[in-house]
Amino acid sequence: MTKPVQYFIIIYTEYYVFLAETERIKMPEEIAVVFSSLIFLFAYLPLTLAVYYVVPRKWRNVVLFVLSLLFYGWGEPIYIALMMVSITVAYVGGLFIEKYRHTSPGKCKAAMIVSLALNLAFLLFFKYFNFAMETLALIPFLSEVAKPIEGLSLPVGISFYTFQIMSYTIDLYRHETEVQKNYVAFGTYVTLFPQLIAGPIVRYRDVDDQLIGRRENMADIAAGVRRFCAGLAKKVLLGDGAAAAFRYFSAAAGFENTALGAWMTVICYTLHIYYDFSGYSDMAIGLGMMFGFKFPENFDYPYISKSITEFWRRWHITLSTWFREYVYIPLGGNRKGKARQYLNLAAVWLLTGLWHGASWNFVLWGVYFLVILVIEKAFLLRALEKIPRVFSHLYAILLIGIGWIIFAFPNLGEGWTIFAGMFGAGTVGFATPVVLYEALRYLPLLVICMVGATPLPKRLFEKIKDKPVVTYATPVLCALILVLCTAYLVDSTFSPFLYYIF
Amino acid sequence: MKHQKIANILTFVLFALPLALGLVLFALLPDRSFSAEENRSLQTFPKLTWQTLGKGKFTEQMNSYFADQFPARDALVGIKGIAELALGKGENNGVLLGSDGQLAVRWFDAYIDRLIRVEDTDYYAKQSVAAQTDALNRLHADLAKEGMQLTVIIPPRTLDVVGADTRYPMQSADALWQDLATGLDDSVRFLDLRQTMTEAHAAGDQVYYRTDHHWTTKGAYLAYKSLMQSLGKEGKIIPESAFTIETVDGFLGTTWSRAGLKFVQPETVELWHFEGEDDYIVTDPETGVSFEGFYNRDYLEKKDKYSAFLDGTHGVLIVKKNTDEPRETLLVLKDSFLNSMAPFLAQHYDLVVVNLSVGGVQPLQTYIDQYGCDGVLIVYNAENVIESNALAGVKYAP
Repeated sequence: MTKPVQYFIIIYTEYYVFLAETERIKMPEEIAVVFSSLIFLFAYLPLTLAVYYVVPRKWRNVVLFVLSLLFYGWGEPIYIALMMVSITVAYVGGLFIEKYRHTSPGKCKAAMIVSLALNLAFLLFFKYFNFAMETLALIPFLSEVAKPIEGLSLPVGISFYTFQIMSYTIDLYRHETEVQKNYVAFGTYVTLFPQLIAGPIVRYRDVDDQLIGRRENMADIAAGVRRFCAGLAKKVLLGDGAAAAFRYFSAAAGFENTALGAWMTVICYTLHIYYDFSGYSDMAIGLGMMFGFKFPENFDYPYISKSITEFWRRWHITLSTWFREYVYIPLGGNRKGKARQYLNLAAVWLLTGLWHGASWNFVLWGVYFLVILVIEKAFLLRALEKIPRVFSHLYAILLIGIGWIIFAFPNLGEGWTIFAGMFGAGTVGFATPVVLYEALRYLPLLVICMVGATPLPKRLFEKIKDKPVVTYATPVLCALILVLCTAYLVDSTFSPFLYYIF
Repeated sequence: MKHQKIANILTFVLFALPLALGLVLFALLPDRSFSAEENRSLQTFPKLTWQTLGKGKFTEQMNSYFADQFPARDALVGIKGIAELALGKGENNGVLLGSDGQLAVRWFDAYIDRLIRVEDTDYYAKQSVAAQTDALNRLHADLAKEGMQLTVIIPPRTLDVVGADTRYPMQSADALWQDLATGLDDSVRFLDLRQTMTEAHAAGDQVYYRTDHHWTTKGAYLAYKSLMQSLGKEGKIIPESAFTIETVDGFLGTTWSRAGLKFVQPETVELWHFEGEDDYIVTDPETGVSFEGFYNRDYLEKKDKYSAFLDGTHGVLIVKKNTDEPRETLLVLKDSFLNSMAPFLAQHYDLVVVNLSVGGVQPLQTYIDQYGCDGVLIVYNAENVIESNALAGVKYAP
């Protein structure tokens, strides 16, 4: 008898699009127009830019609103209706908050609560209903009642735009921003296609003064193009390359686990998720600049952190900011004593975990960081500052990598296999010849990825960028990146049906 | 500052121009309905109805339409291939590049069960291979009871033959052969042709195509020779000198398409003709189509030249010689590797050729009774053993 082998069913998890459908997590390419798709690059983007700049200024928001709705509805046109309801609820809610602000604090609060509740309800239903049902069904006598809804798919970007809408309602209630009476301007804010699918999570007050009367100019547009091309290269050339390596090594571990293979799995996923997500944020910020918007930054070289506390100040900044502003501080933050502070942290990290996906591994992932952050707050942070920097870097990157194992594998058993393999447990050896071969093959790409995750390349570029040669070389470089990325994108759609001659 | 201003405009122009150019070319160039490179139908402009729109089907097809009809698709695929080599990866899309433009597929899809395959891997499911060798052992025993012989040829993959020329570690490729050898009972006549092929390859004979996953006609001839030897019929082997070789240039096979390494040059397909070829009739009993000789020459004009052998894919084919002399009939369970070997075999046997890869294979008793077969031969290449479990479904009686 051959020994039973545990096989990995590779489910490709994208950071930003999770479907409430059980197990099945769709690739974003399947359900939406992503920036790194041919139809976006060569049809949607040039047409949108052309129409936007051709129409008179006062029509520009209408153009953005309508075309963003098209972008949003491309995967599931029916969800355009859902989006319109969300926008209208928050818009009308805003008007009521403003109307009763000085006359009736009770009604003002009620308007806020109704607006928030309705928008959250959509998110909870589409993202967590099936997860909740499946969890309830584990309780014996409930299994007959708790039935998931089949074919319930998650509207694109709902986790992102719901949070954006909530930032408007809450900030308006706190009177930290002014009411938006222009429906189109508000709709433009919510649907704005650059940040719709994967953030950054733009708070309303970050862009309120840009919604009406922003001034586009060539310097910003060019900077936007540069930023977009950088993001495109990060996502397509580096992120997707690391993803392919991750898929290879994680699948290989299912057949024959090796220490080298386990480490490669972690390293490749760590690089993949950074390049994928931060590349996407760069593209979003760049696109925003092309239309005259300034979005907040989302990443600040997270992998150079010397502690997990620092990592979360550098990773997905707009999400951490959102949770701090709208959950942690309202709950009392650190102002109500140590015990309460830890409780507040627990709430934030449970929610952060769940926000990333309706699955227990994400809950565990949130708890994992909660525990580390609490320990760091208690004493570790002070100790980390005293030891040589190389050790604090190693400490941080190792814990980040282990975190990604929990994140990457919805099936905890598979994650455990990789984790154990890193320390030689359950392996057939350090490496097999083919794993070594594959690791060496990917080495140049991974080295580029690692260097690129530090501020070094940018610093070098800043030094030379004012030389005329470099000034003129940059536009050419951008164009070359565009062509090269297009080649990679075309190749990924190139699917020879090879075995037609049976 | 002045430089920066000009550079800004240049940045925008150099960005917008390719995008606009792509869109304009996309709109102007006529749609293609078929890609010879990929051997599949391409998405044409999708039908727009309320129903397709509402379910998201229209937009999904629009995405495919745009990707499939994208201008300069093949050239862009070539650029990606070169970029991958420049990154030091040494291969592209799971295809190794050896010396002299020799290509060899290295990644296969491991068949686990009906629902699960692991794509693009060096590994294979040992259980799946074991299930197939078990089925062959059972078949061998059942046939032996009926007094019939089973011969199994598992043609090696290109990798098995030329892999030593590349940096690829061959230990992982060899593992499969050990499993096959230990899995099959010693009494099963199993031909491992790796040594024959690698020796011929090392001696400078082209036994496998550079750009395709099949063996060449020369390779098929060597396989035929080995088979005859193992059947104890050395004396009847037709010598190479008895054939007149016709060469057809410009062949770029399936491996070339997958590799995306466009600088690899086309190669030659050989048809080994012999006297009296037209006496052989090939018939598809399901469609009733039949032709003389072994080749459909229409394919020689197209990209897919290997399909000229036995007219490409058929479920069942009968190969008979138009003669009164009594001939043995061989039941052959096979994939496309058999197609280029069939002209050699047919000179000794009438053939009942059953394609294992298209499904609907009956228990062998059915064919044996219907056509009066005297022996069974399996020609099913190692790649298909990994990627399907068709052999596991082969049995004698219902």
